[in-house]
Amino acid sequence: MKNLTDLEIIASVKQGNQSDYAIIIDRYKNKAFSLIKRILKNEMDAEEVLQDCFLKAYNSLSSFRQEAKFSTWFYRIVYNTTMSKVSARKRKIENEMSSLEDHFNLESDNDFRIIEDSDLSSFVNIMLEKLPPSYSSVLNLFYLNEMSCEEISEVMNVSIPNVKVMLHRSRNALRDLIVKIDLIKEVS
Amino acid sequence: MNKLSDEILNKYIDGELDHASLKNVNEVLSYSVEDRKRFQALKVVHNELKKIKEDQVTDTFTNLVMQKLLSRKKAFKEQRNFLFLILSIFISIILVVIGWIIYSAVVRTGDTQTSQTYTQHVVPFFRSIASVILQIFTPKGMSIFGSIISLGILISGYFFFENLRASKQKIRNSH
Repeated sequence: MKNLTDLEIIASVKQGNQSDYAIIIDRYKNKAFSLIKRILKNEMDAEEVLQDCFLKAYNSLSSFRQEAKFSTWFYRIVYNTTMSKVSARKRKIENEMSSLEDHFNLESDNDFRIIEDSDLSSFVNIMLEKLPPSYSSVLNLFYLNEMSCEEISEVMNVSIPNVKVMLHRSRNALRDLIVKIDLIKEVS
Repeated sequence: MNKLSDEILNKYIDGELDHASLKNVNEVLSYSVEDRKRFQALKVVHNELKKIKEDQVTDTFTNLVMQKLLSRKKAFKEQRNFLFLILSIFISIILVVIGWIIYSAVVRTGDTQTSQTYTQHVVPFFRSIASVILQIFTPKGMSIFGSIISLGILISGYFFFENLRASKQKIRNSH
């Protein structure tokens, strides 16, 4: 049963086998959780939002057109629900244009204190959480969910060039920082 | 001085450069120490990002969501049944009113019946129905009818919202 494709499982759920939805949940829960957690920066909120996402997705299954990939459709629900939560918390939301114009500063004093005791992997993970939501989402979807820039643009509802700009800027920012604090020595 | 822009280096890492550009970048990287250093650092970041691990939700997560789904489905069923019940009551009331109108009309027609022809049976019957309906639309009839309907709406509204509240409470308690 677990070897079935998403579309086959969805078809089965639509036919009334509600319990099959658990397979979809198991398949996506951790990756979606990682994305939400990096945006909300809070585990409890992230799990609560993720529950809502699965419920929303289940209730909207009838509107899911099978020609699209389920993962793209589902992550769009996840991203939008998470951003709504951010908005509800009255955090700063960056829309497509402003997020491209905004600067993010990864070089706060606090960050450097963390870095002194961490290796490169931990450092990258810590810095990922310091990125603005849209940037960390792009990195998360690109690397962890192995999505293409086209799929990410669908999920986040931004243009493909803007996805690439965010991807490049995030990488560049991380690179500049590890060069600055000499963490690069470990690898070369 | 950097000969290769960050954009080019990122595209190089993502494999988005055409053959000519690729050749050019490789050439620059072979002699420009500065560019090579920047590229290597970017490659390190790229490789580290590829290694990021997914976070784990709590063990009970899937069960929780499935329970919530079942509770919602059950609550939805209960609400649907309740609405059906209310609707049935309203339809019954309307049927009783119609029945009463027909009954009154039959009684009146029977009182005034003098002829045996079909037309003389039917016409007075419908006239009686019309007169009973007209009675409802008199100021007194309207106020009685309106009161009954309002009372019905109030009572069913109360029970409907109580039902909604209870369903929500049930969903919350299941977690």
